Amino acid sequence: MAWLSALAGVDAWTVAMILVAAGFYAGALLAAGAVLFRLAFPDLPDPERRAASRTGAIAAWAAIVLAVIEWPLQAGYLGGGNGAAAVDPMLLGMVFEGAQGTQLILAVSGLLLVQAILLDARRLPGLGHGLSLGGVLLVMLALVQVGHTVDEPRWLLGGLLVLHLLAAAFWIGSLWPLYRLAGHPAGGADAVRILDRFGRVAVFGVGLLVLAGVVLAALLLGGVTPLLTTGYGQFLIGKVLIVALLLLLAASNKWRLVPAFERGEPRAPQRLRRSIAMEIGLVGLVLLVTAILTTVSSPANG
Amino acid sequence: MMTIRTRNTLRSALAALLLAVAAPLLAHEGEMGHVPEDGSTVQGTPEEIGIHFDGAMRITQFDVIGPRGRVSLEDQPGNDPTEEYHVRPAGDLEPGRYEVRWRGLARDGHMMSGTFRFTVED
Ligand SMILES: [Cu+2]
Repeated sequence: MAWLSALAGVDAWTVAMILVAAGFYAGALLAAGAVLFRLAFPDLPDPERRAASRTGAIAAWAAIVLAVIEWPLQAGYLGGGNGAAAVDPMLLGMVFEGAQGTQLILAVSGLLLVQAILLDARRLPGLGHGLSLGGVLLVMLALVQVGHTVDEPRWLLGGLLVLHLLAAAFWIGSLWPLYRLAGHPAGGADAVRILDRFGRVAVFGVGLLVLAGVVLAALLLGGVTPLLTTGYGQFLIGKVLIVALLLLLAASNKWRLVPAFERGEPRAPQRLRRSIAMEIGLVGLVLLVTAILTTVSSPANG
Repeated sequence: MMTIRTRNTLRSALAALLLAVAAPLLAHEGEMGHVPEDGSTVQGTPEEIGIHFDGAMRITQFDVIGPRGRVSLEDQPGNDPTEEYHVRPAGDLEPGRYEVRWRGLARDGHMMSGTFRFTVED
């Protein structure tokens, strides 16, 4: 199996790179998602709104730290995977001058701007939203700097990736606020209103996520054969299977658990929370597979 | 509601888009060949050991490991982007199996690594 042999050559240094990359993706998408979620639901109850902002800000700081840690990790990898290479000024300089350096600068400035999410929405309406949305844009730009979406047709590939990432960020950013809302007593008016509207927005968002992902994968892979024969293709299949499981959970939330919650069934909040917690776990798994995809394998070398 | 007609239009537009770019896109630079060839056997010390790529790559590590450990090399080029990377062994290579381990930075920011092997006979 190509995916096994791709993993067999992985040393401890590469494992560290994969974990840090997965953490960076999680933090950056969670931060961007918090901004998007607040924008989509301006009428969140006060405690939920504050919680969403706080989560977004903390996630952004975590992503900044991880993005900075990636730099010496990459330099160290280039020098053969050791500590001496990680602090080698020549290798550090080479990474910084390249695509990874551009990504670092854009990501850090974007994530700093995302902190504007903490600005008081009532006293400074617009400013907080504007600045944090600008931050989201920079984070998205950062994420298309490295990898095969920099090839031609760059605008098409980069645009598809940004759409895919925006939809993913919105979904990921919504999980924690929804988990909190589901803890409200079943049938509570605020929770019902927001869960209901989320269900409608999510259908559109998930469609965008899947469509952009499929077109992008088709363009990068260039056929069905590499999907089956290369390590990259096989990891991609793994990712798709986990996403399919996520979609099943999301569908059961929308059509079974949320209606039960709206009817005020006493056990509904608990079941909804458990389902959302499982979604959070699966999202973590998807990000891990994505980090493996972008770190150890690529459509080109299988 | 989406009418059947718009849905069909969308579907054929998508199909056309996929067909238009059905060939795999050029991703980062790939390995084109090795000197000595991967898996080959050479008589005596090879004059040069190297690798070539289909695009410019910055090589950051290039180690030749033999029966006595790391082989000392001459003419190690710098890290500038190059399509051809060649080194010379500093002394004679004793018979045995050799492995070359390299790492490098591709233009798209991806970190690349690879190995190839050859055998030296008297
Ligand atoms: Cu690449």
